[in-house]
Amino acid sequence: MKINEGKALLLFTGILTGILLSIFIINTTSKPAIILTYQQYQKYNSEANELKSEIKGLYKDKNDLVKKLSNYYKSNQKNKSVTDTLRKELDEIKLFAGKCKVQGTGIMIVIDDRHDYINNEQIMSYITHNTDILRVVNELRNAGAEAISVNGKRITDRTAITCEGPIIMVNGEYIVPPFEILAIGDPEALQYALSLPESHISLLKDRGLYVKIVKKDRITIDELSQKFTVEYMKNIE
Amino acid sequence: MIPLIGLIIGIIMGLFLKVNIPSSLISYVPVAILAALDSVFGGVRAALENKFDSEIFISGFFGNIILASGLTYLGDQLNVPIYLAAVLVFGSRLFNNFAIIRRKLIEKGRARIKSREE
Repeated sequence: MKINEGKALLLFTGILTGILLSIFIINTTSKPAIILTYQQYQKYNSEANELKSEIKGLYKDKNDLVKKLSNYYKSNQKNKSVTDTLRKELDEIKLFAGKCKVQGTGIMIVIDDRHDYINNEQIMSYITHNTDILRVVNELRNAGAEAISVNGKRITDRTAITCEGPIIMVNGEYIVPPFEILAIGDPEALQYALSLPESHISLLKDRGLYVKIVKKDRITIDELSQKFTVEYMKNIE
Repeated sequence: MIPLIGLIIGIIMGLFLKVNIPSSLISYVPVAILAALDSVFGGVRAALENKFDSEIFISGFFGNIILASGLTYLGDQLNVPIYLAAVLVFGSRLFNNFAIIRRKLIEKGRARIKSREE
């Protein structure tokens, strides 16, 4: 058997295919095949797709973290870039914690009490309660609002909106009607969420309260004015 | 014969190499294996018919693998199992090629027996 080009190529590709085959068989644990109905197939397929996208996201996270780590290693040699990296991170954390002034597209909602009430029996449904503000804020968050403020008081993860008798308190500060709620996010999405018939805004309108929603290209939200201190929680990692 | 020997050598090498395939690529490998097998069988058949052309063979080998994996990827993105097309085509061609190889080998064997008898 003389060795020519063609035979060598056949041998080479054969080896390549064999390697591929055996590697694949090693790498995948084979399960006995089951016959699925179409519904089951769809269900499993969507599950698989979800997991795939999760894997993709995790890979991306991993890549980001590896990049970050390598940045740290690199900047170890130069102290200046360490502080730069840390400052950048601090800025990001501040952005998430509501400690800086932010600007972006969003909507403005104005809610005011109903003033033309006739009898005192229905007065409770004519005034704006803290729960109303809370629900609206919750709906905005659900619709993807990234920053929210009520009468200039920034809503953060430690914000409480409470009822103090005739007045509402946000972040420990009193606010009075009319309530101006600013939210940064996708204006269309936010407005759509609020205009749904089952939204709390619709309920407020039904109760006869004054409600105005304005989409805005530029909304500026002030930073959190209070300083929340940490007393009880500790990092145990 | 040669590709079969190659296949066996490759399988043994693969067992010892223990390369890890990234899990994101794992769905493309089976189609690629099928394409590769198809090309190898096609090459054997061409060699038996004395029509073997190494350039056509190599371009077909890698082209088929790339196209099959690409189709699978496209199918994943579109949520349509396009890889079934690759499986069907390569599978039926595998059987076709195998049938032709078998026939050629038997004919060759018969011719040899005949010439020996004469």
